[in-house]
Amino acid sequence: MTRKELAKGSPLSWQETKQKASHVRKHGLKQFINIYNKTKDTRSPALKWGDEIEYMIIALDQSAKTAHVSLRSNEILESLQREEIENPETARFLWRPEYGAYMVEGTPGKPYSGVLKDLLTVEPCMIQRRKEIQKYLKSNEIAVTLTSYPRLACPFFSEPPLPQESSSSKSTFFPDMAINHMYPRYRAITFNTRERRGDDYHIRIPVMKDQLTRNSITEVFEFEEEEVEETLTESIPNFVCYDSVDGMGYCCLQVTFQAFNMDEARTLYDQLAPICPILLALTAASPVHRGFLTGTDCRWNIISQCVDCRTKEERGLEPLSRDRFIIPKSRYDSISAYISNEGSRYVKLLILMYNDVPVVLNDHYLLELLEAGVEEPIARHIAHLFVRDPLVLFSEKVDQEDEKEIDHFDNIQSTNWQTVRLKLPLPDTDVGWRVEFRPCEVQITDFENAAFVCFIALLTRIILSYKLNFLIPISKVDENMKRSQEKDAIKNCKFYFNSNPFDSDSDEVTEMTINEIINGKDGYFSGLIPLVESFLNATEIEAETHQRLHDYLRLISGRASGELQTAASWIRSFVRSHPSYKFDSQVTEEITYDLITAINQLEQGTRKEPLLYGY
Amino acid sequence: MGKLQIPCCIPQTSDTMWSFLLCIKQVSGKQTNINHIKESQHTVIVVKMSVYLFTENMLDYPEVKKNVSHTPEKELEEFLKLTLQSKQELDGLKAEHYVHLIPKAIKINEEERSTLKISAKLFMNVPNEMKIYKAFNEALQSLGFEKFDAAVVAWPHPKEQLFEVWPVAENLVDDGLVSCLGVSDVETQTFVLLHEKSRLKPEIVQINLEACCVVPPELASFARANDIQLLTHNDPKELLPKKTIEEIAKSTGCNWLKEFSLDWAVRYQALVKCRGVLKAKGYVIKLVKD
Repeated sequence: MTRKELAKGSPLSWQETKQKASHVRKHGLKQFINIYNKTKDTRSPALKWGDEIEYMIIALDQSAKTAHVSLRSNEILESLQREEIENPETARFLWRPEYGAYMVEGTPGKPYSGVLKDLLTVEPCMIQRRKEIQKYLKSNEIAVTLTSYPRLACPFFSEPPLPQESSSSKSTFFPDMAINHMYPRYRAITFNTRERRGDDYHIRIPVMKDQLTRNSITEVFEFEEEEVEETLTESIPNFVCYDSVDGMGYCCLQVTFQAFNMDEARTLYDQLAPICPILLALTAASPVHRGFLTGTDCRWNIISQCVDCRTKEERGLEPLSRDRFIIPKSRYDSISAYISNEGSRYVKLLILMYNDVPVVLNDHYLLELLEAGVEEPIARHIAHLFVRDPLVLFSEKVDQEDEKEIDHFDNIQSTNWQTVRLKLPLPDTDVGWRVEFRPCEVQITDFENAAFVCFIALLTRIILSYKLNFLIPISKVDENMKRSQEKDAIKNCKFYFNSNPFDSDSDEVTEMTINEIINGKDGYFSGLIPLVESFLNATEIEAETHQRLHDYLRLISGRASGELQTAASWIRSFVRSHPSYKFDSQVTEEITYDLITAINQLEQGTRKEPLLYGY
Repeated sequence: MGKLQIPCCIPQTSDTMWSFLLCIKQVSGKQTNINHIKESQHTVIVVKMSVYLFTENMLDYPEVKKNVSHTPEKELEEFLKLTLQSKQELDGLKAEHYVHLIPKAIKINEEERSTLKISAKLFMNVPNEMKIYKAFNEALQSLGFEKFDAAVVAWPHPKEQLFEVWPVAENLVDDGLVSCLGVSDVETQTFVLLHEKSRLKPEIVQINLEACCVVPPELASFARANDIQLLTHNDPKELLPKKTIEEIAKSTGCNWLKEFSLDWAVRYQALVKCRGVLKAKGYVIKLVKD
């Protein structure tokens, strides 16, 4: 698995970037056509796959009882990356920076193989990665895999504490220095997204109303001595706000699979798309935002709004004059169309019918792609991605040789953040067609992360082995995405799902609970876990592997049935049962300290939590 | 999709019947030739004493897939019901000696074959050394493979007999039909003894995790020390008991089936090794009249 190299070059100003937008798109398209024609028949006989985990570095102060994000990730990264710089071929892990200056991303050095026995190597690899980070931490620092730092963008949430200087983001809450500054990309995206957008963000996250929650939430900022007050009447729920791209300071868990060929990649892309909201609900781990318990358990919609670069015209709030299109979705959102061309006649018909949301695309680009011989669903997919402007452009990368370089294509491709992503082969390497699965929230322990990662890997195997069809209308997938992020979605919501994925000639889209989808509904749907179990039996897998996979499946089964809590509901109950919690929805420094300490203990195994794990 | 009645100058024993059947694969006769018949799912050939039911790859039957999460015995029961449900073909037909369930030959080229791990498992209600060789051989012939990469013999039978029949299993390897041998449902001691005594040692041992929950530590260490694959299965002691056959007979209306029992069954699957994808799965079954 190769990773995009993050340039440390010199980004152009927003004005210059905007001026070059057509240039980037024009050449990006040529670059795509070039790669496509070279690699459309690429075959990769072996499955290679891998996970990506994002960590937060937290500085604990035992006497003050505070837990703040530690802004040392660049220092730590320098040490971590030594291994891969010195021995790129044998590096055990690969490390990359992320948006927050307190975040670090780690992937296995070599991809996992397609031999089912190797599923047993996923968790040890994750455990080793965490140990590796710990080598370079100070004695008061820990690395946690927590999707949402509870007091992100609250006053003095970092170590060292920062002045509220935010020329990049124009944020009232998130200081610039909390963004990774060594890699200009992040600052540039932050600034440019806001510039392009033109108006302020109004990202409102509903506060969870508890017994003593006030009707107005007043945010006071000591360093600015400014009071930002949100006063709302009783009938409207209270909100906490984000006002910039700082939503990218969340951590997530991603899995990427290499497919046998382009057709298989497209099949996986399509079949995994309706699975995204299911996994998002199961991995829900972010109920606390900006120091408050909220009505959402997940980060997806928040980030979606934070990275929304659409102008008012594009959002349909003003008549189109400068901009060309009304664009229905943020560039960070779930997919808008299925793209495969495989399967029975019935499935092909379904795809036509189920692509039922408006997909805005550039007709000229579509024509150019079709004329270059690109298959229509892919052409439409690319023409849709290319509706966006580049958000950052490095001066060193402006002029390219389209036959040899791919940065312009990559620029647009990598700033369309969707629930699943189709990745092209890298010409002249053995890296083939791949699909990235992106909705999961990262879990507290490596056991859980390994469980979900292996489950997803096994889902892809049963989709391919049994030729399953999970397609439902895209509009219903979008509806599922909304529902999956609600507080306690597993208990309270039903999700659209094809309860007859076995037939190539019929389907049955109904609403089922996560429990029914995962564990089955008698006489109705076998359930994803029973399907996976029987696959494991059919492949006569090694006993040792099977036992561990049993543990993983038991965890997921418990989360789905509600017997075990999701990370989000556990965090919420932790807060609410904390001795100093005042039933006012506020998550104070002290509660945050205790929460993060508890999370660390859970990860280390020194604290037991039957509600989360069953033991 | 009809009955192909073959004139009675046909040899009567099952063995030569088999090769005869395979020969007529090449012949295109009348308006329905054997290949054409084999194309469709629920096709039946009646040849004198026996009924031959042709089936496809189990992974291609939606109704079977719906049941894929059930136990192997349930899955097989559903599969058999489905195969027999083409009542038209079977109306008025009955077998006198045998009922064969034969999967359609699986076409794969050399290149693809090397990517697959094709394994088979033999179930016998009454163990018998002749059956061991015959079953695997017939399975290979109907599937069109040269050899099985692994052949496991399910042995929920008395352990003494296992040592007696094992040499036949070794012949399978000698004759190039099987690459490695395995056994399931035996106790650790029995397996260790078999490993010691046999000329060609078993390289696979299967245990039922549902039955024993934890991998027996002695077996695990023995397997590790001797490079033996310790795999899991969830097959019952009796895959196709008489009761099930009677139930199938009743629900499909093929009442004559009540008088038959399982002679042997070979379950096969083809797994794409380096991708972890199942390519094919099915059963070759022989039922015999009581």
